[in-house]
Amino acid sequence: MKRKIICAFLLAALVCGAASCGGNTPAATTTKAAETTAAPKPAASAGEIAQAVLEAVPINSSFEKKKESLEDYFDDLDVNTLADQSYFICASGAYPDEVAVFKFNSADDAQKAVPAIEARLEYQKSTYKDYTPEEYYKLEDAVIEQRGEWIIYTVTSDNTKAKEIALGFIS
Amino acid sequence: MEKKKRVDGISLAIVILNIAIVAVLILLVVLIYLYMTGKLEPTDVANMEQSEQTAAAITTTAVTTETVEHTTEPTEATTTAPEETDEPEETEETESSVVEAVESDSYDEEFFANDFFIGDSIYTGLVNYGYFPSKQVFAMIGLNPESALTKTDENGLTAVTKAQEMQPKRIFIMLGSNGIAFMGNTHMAEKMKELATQLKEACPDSYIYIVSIPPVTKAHDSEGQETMVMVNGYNKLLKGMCEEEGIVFLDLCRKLQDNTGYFSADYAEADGMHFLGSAYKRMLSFFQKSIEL
Repeated sequence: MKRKIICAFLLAALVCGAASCGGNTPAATTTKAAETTAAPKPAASAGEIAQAVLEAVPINSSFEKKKESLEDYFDDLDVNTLADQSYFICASGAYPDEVAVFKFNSADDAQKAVPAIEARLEYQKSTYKDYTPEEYYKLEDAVIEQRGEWIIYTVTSDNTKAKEIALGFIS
Repeated sequence: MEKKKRVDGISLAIVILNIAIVAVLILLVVLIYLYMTGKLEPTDVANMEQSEQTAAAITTTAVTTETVEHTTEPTEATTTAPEETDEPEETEETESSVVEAVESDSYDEEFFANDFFIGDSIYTGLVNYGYFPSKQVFAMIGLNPESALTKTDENGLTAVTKAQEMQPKRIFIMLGSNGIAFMGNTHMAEKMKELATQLKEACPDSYIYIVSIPPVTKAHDSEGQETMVMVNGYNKLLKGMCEEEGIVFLDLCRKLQDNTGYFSADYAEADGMHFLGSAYKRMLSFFQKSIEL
């Protein structure tokens, strides 16, 4: 009789153990999946968008410039109208690559800022055209895209991809 | 009788087997718990090496933000060095370059607080990396000793007029990388002399330093556009001009070379000519130490 009890206990332990081991993963997955679907995805920040672009299209010696430095690169850009921003450049000066994600206070502010971005691109074109002609293709199809209060500006080795990734967040 | 025997007669082997299974399960649960809580240290050396390699790869491609601490941090550097040299995989060459970097790459930001820098795209990195504000730097992509006399910035200032407005304590000029391929060394050295003369007149109280142009990597050299023969030739001429004119010549080129005489991979951008962020620290450290001597 004692043997019966011991055996039953051991079998129960085994079954419980196996059940708990086997049951853990699906349970966790279910919870995770539920969280993913239940919690609304927060809007991506400019920094997150820029990082996503850089992960797909890296920039040599990339360096993020702070808001207070933007006027060194974008003449006539009113930084006070920016709600969020992320601006990466190739800091070594060797390559024209740069990625900017700007979110303005309003779509109107963004619209007004477009000429400043265009002026930056023109400056870069005039600089790199003779300096490193082999890099000029990055500027030729550079992206300046305004969507509402957002502006995306990319000068990379794959501007189509960079644009697709950035706009994927915004739209 | 036989039936009773079969029920009660569970063999000892089955009991032991059950105990073993339960024990294994418990052990697994414990191990999983320890692993999840981080108490279980990885012991697989191969895995560790792989992690280090991955970390190194991430470091080299990682983006940087404008919170770079470009002031002297000898404590941090000193404490890092022994850890790195303890790595058994490190070669002697790596060890020595680390020690050299630790010894030489510190500088005092305050030391340069009232100084002015004139240069080409390489010096744009001083602003890009946040080492100095743009008011302390006159740097343009493609600038050479000749164009530095006339080119103006977005405010309509030339290198000389911008320096004149600032009246800096020191002026560092590093120009020539953009001209060695086509301008002629003598012509460039003459233009550097002209620039220095104009700066002396505009900023009579400033100390002027002319900096040798940096080396190029072996790969860049082999492309033939700019070579170490050209770099050395120009720097030699520049040094001679400085000696004649009583201008201090800072031989930065030497400080950025590896043991083969080419631009060290520790400091060179992928194009083999421009600076990585680390090269600026090296440069500023060298400037400060040379001046303080």
